[in-house]
Amino acid sequence: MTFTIGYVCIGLSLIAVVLFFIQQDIYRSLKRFKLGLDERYVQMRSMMHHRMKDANSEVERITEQYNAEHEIRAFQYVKMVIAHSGLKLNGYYFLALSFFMAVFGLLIGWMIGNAWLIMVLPVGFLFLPWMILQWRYKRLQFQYKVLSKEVVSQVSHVYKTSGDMMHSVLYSLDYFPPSYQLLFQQFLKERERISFDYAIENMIKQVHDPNFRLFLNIFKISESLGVDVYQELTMIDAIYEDERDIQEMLKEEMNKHKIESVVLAIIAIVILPAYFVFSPEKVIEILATPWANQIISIGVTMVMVAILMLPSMFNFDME
Amino acid sequence: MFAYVVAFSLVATSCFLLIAVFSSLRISFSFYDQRVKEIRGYVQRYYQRFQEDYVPKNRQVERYDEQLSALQRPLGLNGKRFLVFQFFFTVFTGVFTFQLLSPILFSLDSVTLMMLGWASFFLLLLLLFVFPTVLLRWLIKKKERKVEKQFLYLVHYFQIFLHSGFTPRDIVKRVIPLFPQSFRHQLVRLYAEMQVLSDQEALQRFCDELKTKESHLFYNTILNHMQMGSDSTKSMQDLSRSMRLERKAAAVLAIKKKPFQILFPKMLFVIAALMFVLVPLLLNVYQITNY
Repeated sequence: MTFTIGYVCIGLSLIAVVLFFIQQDIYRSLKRFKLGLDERYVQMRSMMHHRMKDANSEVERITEQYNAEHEIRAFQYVKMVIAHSGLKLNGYYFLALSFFMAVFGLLIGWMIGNAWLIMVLPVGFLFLPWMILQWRYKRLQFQYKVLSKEVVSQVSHVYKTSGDMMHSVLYSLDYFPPSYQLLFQQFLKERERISFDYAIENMIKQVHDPNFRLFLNIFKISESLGVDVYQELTMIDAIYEDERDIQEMLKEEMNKHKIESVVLAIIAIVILPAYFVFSPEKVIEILATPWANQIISIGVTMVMVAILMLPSMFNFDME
Repeated sequence: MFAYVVAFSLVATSCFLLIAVFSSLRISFSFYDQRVKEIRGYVQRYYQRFQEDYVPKNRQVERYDEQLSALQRPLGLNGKRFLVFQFFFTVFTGVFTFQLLSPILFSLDSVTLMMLGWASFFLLLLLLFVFPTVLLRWLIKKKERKVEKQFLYLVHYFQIFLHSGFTPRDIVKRVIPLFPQSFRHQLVRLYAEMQVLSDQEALQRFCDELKTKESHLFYNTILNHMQMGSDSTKSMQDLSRSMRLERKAAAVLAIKKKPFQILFPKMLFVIAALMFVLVPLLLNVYQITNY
């Protein structure tokens, strides 16, 4: 009976979490609508007071305008990472997963019976899914960068002889990696319906790599103004080469440490469950002794901290 | 234990439902409180001016204020609120550590051990007090590093757009949506100031605030371009190349440090594993000696 009540309570609290976030979305959309109405009022006010030339109010107005588009930065960032991590995850599933992990950490803390671990483990376990997600996202970003370097070098190679950006893109389209082929084909389709500027801006919005955004902007400028951009293309190529060199260097330096640290982590994680499997009475005895319990809790905290530190050791972000 | 889980989930449910109800009330009220907010804003501004003129400021509070404004005031924190938070953080964590350590502290027999124990406890309190400040500084340094990286891209964009004949104001306007939120705020501010002040003055203020090594070189190059009408493409190229090389050198240095840095988590794993192995042995020894 108590178990059923417990499960119902946990289910209810999860539904409440999901409801809370959905309701937040509704609230945000209403707020955006309201900001749209307010914009006229703000414009009128700025027209009335334009003689005062108050820089701060102008800053506030424009910042508000941009913030309305990008509310709750952290949530936006999480959504972006989830979208680019290549996992079939929804923001709400991710939140639910993190919440479950935190509850799992809480249960382990309770099992060990230590006040410190009851506080620390839920926090550590809460960040575990995020850590894995970000690690995967960064790995995929590096793979995307390798592909975008290929695209940029091919286009700049053709541009050197032709001097026409559009021609060089169309000429080398067949040699692009498949994902970029799709992106450019979509752009070419859109270009037939809407103007070149809008089509390329849509493409820029889809791309997350800042170097490739730079490349697309160069593309845009050269098409609209007819400026020679060979120097700029070689510059982007050089930036990509720098990043590749750095990543290779990181691999060289850290490959041997990767295996060592993973083995050490597995050893440190496996010992306690192994004790529990082979002699549960001994584990209960250890946990019942105050000083032994405290030493175990310090050890568990150390493992938690080290695991959370590991991904930052094997990643290096040039952006 | 299960009762705790039930109680916890009940509390969590009620909290979330309360927040949901509260924010839906906010939706209905938010349509009517525009005017009230405006009046409140005027009052607050007058109060701030009064404070600036008449109330003497604490140096530490001012310092926190500057640091927090550099971080765009997370959670609406200002200097005073941060100081209060620091105080309460120290008190709560201090009480918690005291509860944890009190059995050991009160069981010490010799005077020397007792003095050492209490001294280490007060040292821990001091460390707890300093922790939020250290965290703030670390966050600011992290942000500065991010800004430096974004600044390189800004130089690249200026190089391309100046080469195509755009004015600095047009460039800033075009470039704003291309940057992440952390840097966009500064660009928005630059653009707004360009509309109110002159381009030159706004750029100078922007470069002063960035505090990167190359920001003044960047400013001088654009100034030359604006005042003399000289072609700044070559100098911008040189600037971006030197910045790129510097960034690469810094990255190489950071990677060379990584093998030493990874020793720390490795040591943590080893020490933790040793603890897990030794605890049962120590417990056996303890039981044998006690019997």
